[in-house]
Amino acid sequence: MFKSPFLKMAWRNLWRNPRRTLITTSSITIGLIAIVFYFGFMDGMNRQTLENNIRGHSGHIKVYAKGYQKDPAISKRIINPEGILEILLSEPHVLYALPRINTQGLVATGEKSAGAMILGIDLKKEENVSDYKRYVGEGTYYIPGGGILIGKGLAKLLRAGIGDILSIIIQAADGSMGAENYKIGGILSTGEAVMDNSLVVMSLEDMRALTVAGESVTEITVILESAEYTEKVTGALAMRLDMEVLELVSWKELLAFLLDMQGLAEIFKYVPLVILIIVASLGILNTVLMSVSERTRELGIMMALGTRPSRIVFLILLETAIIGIAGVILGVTGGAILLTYFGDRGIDFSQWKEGLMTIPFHPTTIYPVIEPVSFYLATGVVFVSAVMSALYPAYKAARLRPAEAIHFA
Amino acid sequence: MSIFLKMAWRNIRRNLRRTLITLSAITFGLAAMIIFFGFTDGFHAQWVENTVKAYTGHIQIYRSGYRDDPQLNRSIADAAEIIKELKTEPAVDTYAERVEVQGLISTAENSYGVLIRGIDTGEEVKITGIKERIIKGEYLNEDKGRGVLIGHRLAEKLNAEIGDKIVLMVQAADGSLTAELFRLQGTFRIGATELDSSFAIVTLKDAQALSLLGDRVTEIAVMLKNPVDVLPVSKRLKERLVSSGYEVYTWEELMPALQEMIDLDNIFMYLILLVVLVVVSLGILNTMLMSIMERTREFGIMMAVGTSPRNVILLVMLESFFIGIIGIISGAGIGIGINRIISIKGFDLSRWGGATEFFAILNPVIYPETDIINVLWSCAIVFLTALIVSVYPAVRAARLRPVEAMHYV
Repeated sequence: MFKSPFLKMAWRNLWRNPRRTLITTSSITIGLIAIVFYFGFMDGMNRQTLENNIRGHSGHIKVYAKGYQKDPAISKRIINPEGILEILLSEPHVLYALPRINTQGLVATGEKSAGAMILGIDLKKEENVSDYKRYVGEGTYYIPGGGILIGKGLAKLLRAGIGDILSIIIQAADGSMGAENYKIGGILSTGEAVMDNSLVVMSLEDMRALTVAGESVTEITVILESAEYTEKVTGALAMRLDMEVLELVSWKELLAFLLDMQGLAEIFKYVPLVILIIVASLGILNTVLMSVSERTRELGIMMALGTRPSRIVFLILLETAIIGIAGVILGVTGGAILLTYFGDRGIDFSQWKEGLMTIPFHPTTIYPVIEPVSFYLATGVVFVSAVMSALYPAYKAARLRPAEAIHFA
Repeated sequence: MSIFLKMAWRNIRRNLRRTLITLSAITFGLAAMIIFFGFTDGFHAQWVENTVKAYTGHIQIYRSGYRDDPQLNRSIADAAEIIKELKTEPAVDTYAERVEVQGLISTAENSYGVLIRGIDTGEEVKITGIKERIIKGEYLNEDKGRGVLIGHRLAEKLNAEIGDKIVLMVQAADGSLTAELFRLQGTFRIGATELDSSFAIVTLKDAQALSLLGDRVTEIAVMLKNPVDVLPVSKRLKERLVSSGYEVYTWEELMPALQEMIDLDNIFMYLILLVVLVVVSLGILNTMLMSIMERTREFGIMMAVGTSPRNVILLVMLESFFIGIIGIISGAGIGIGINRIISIKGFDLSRWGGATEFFAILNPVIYPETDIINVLWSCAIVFLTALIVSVYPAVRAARLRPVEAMHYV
């Protein structure tokens, strides 16, 4: 293993003062464990929030009638969804295509009323795909005809419970005002403030009757095997569907504010990294500098015997690199242990539920998972900065004058 | 004692470069902490201020029971009675009577659920600054009547232009559904997604007429000259108003989610600072250990001529004490200085516009705040850390055996 004498020398030098080596290694290790865990936490939180939003409402791709995204009026509908559904489902990587009708309206009891987001879904198709069934906290998901599910906050606002009758007033597809009475069959607890306070879900058939929409729908939500296929599938669908009357919107556009928010959170990801690295590097710089000045005489002798300055630089950098590698291995191991432990169990933040609920579908239990990019970035930056901080001491060592250095006491 | 002070001072100047590097680690760590704190505090302050202005004011007063169950028949009949009390509070800057009611806004082709707010056109400007936020059309005019202001996002969704007919429908105080025709008088851009997409603003008179409230209002929003007075002022108002059948809430009580988000943010920050602190202290520990080892012989001689182990400990800790003091002075100086410099121009977050709009951060430029309490305790913690990590090296030095130590090369 030790073919180069320098490698052997570097290794031995490190063991000359094991305590110093251990403390330096542990500062790299602790720093890296903290960063790996923190990155895993942030990545896991971001990924969970996105996945919850995709499953909760946006899907990976939405198919709308042309112009609906800009002006979501019920008059802009997908007229013949059946044919489109067939095309969607025949596309590779598409798991589900869910027809929905989405509109705004007023819900009222005898005494109270509130604005609401009214959603008609195919209860059977969505059962195992979207999260609406999971949201049902009270009552049943399979509401009989004329039944609705309403958000927890909305129920509270209206002082209504299961079995109560609500009137829903909407503007129908033909522009007229439509009103109908429905029985509350279940209460939804979505974990998202806006939806809890405004969501009403009913079966697609009831919704079609209420909105006089016939067979048409306002959107088809497409769920893919994985978010990474979004661009590919969108491109393929644009070729196969009639883009004169339809438009395709990806989750990246639908959840743009969320991506923006996560972009802002990147500051909180990288600032601590930079602070830690600078502080750790200063510690390493000091340690290496001292270990060099301690060996002034020895290095002088080496140079007097003919070791070239570049080799001295190499030796010092090699010593630090060994410490760096040890620190990275230990740090990654420690970080991985923490991530595995908490990745399985999750970290409970339900104490701050109210606050978290303001971000749509923010999880209250966070399962840290580090993204490969974050992992390589953290380890790479830590290792490189450790070696870089030995540059100055190595340069000082190479500049020693052998004659003076030998006489250094 | 004084001789040790002198010795400690000389010792830290003996290897000036080493001392400077250790100092720079402390300085950098502390300055980073202060800047990070300043930035987050500034962000939170801005967030609270904007949200308070746009939504609740610092304090809101309702009729008893309204907050729990906002029915229009629980409205304030005699606002003058409350205003009389508000006028006796010198800390109150301004107050505005409001009517808030959920309803449906419709154009010929589209309708949405909205929160309709009837405002005192004069006073409201001082709280929300809505007049300056008008981007199209003009502000409400009491004489003209039947004008409505809506957010630019809602206008886009409704596809409505200035002058268009708008129908507002609400459930009135007597339980009946009432609708009135309004004209779109202006659109505003507050810079908060929720406000810009789901608020409709009309004059107080029109809102009272629409919801059959007579001259009653649903709430009075109070702004204070200085937000720190919220607790004492609300306490005094509660004492005087609760017995007359009113309830008084602070913004923290009305928006618990906001305070929770801020608490959660702070917890993250403390964790990050803890890790930074650990890495800084490992650096100091290493430096102190090495500087002791270097002086093994010297300590041996000191002890041989009669210095007690206790005094050796004192000497080593005094060195750390000096480094700690200088470190916190320079760290705090640089940290506060940089905060001041950044806060002249502010730090612009508009790159992440989607996120700032979502969080209702109306002015995306953050001005870091230097909270003297935070600075003091950051300094205290850094200083204590420097002292604590020197205990181990000090004890090691004190445990040296003079005879062996004197022969150490």
